[in-house]
Amino acid sequence: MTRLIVHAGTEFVDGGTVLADLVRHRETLRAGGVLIPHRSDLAAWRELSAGLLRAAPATMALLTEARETGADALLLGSDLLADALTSPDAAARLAALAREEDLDIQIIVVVREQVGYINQLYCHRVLSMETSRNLAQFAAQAVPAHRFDYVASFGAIADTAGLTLKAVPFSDLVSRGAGRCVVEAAGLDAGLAEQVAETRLAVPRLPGPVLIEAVRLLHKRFRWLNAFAEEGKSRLRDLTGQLALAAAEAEWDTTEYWGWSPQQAQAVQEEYAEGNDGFAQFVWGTSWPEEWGTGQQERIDLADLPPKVLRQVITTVEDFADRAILLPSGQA
Amino acid sequence: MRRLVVFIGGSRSSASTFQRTLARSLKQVAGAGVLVPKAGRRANKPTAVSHQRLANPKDSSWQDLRAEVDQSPADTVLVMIPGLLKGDDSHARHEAVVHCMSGVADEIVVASVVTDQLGLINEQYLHLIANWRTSARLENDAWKLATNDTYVHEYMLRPWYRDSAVRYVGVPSTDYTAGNPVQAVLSAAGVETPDLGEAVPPPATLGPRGVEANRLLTTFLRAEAPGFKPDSPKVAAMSKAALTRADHMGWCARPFWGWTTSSAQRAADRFASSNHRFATEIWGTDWPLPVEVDRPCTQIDFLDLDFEVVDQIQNYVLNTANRVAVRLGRSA
Repeated sequence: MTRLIVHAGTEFVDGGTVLADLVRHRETLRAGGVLIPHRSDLAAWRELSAGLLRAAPATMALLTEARETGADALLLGSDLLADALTSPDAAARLAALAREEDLDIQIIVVVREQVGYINQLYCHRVLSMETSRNLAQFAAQAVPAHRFDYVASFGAIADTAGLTLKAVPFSDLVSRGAGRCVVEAAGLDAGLAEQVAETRLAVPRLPGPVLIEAVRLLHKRFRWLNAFAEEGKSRLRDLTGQLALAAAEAEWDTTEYWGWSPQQAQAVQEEYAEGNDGFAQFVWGTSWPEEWGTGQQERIDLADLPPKVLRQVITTVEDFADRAILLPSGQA
Repeated sequence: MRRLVVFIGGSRSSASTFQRTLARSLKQVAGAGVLVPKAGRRANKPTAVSHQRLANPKDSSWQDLRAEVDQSPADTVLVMIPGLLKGDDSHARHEAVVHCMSGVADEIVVASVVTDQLGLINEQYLHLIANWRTSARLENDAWKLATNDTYVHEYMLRPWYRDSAVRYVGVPSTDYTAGNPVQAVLSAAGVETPDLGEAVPPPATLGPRGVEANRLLTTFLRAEAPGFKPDSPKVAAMSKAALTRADHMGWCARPFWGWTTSSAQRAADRFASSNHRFATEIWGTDWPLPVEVDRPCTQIDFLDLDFEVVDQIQNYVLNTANRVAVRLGRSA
């Protein structure tokens, strides 16, 4: 039986550091009996990992290579795979693969406390023009539906014969190194884990509250102008980046966005605390180890801005909205 | 024996409703033997039935009033002087006004509408927003407003109900708004009249969207037209015109309630004991008016609105600010 280890990352949790560590130590891992994909780019890893669910030829070829070269394990990973694993039939597909290919499949997920995670994911979603909702609405309408509930997301995997669920707390990636944590969680040789203890995850800096509101306004203006349909989202996302530069140049923000009020943060904690503890008991046999994210609320109401800043925000956003419809395609 | 009924208001909307209803019902009121004198009305607005000049005890209109009353067979004289609802009037001024009243009739009845403070402050906030005097949310302005003694009925009305020369009548706002306000005041003063018909509705006030639009506009104006003074007659006229535009946009249709439960509770706690003392002294009962601590807050966030409304509000802000800047002749 061959071991298949799958690091199923959640967007904006490991930030690509797991992959970076594994690629950097490809030869060390190989010497330790662990095969990883030959290519180093994120897209290839994503494709190979997602291919497990549909037995894609490239993925199956790598599995065959692992067998034929006598590797003890094949290690795949993707920073986005966790979303795919929450689909209703994902566990059944992986179980079928385990049966058909005689595999021992380990799924390793990285889990993070939800208060800081939702705040960070929200910032990303706003800046990438995926949402113009406020933070509370965004959290309440998570996509996929159980994104922030680890029991609901990964319970089916834990309950399926042939699959083993392992988990790594996000704070460990920060304090102990990303690749090391995954190798340790997979139960691989401790010496091997020491050797890949390279990158400690740095939590990325968040955008400022004025920029967040400015992008939300720009999003609403684009919708009014029907720009998403006429120009395409990717082109408009470029404008968001330019707006961020304009915001930095004008020094709109001196703080990072933290959208939760203390009461809202408390409500999020209460919503997820029991599930987190249940999940932690199942995977680690301990209580939930992650400390909740905290912060003073740093979100703004446009009408409360200093007048000059409000004027800049509205006129700048209007200028960017005009650019989206006035410039020829590709020059936004 | 002649009776002078002096209505001193109680809130902006109650004074406005009274004045508009009285203006429409002058014939019926006269038919009931009640004189609504011409003396004391503002010279530039002789059709307005408010006797604002009588707020000044030195004004010559008191002599005119005595002469007019002497020539009338009416037993009851009804005047409306909202300017007398001032807790900070000096004792000497109060005495002087009462002395003037005593020269007109044998019995003096001073009537006011008594409203709960949450409603009063909400109404005052709407007035400040409509006149571009604040851009804060009610939640943030609430304490500034709630700590103002003008909302303490004891403070504002004690000079009247502790004056032995005057009979004070407090009309609970629930009685006042249930039917015709003129009839409610006269009835509370002991004057029976035939049915005076329905009340004339008060002027439109901003709803949640209108409030948000004006908050944004006020902040924007401070940058677009530096030094603009909301008190100046030009700006006051423009804010009035803007209110009409807001009404045409449908932004006055939904009632606005800016209190959140927690801030409403804090304010209600502040007024509870003085309201109890007031009610005991005036009506011999507990405070009879509902205090709507749990009424849902309707204050909204600009960027939580649909993109069509965001566009409407942005156009309103930019166009109105441009008009004001041009009119004031000092565009930034």
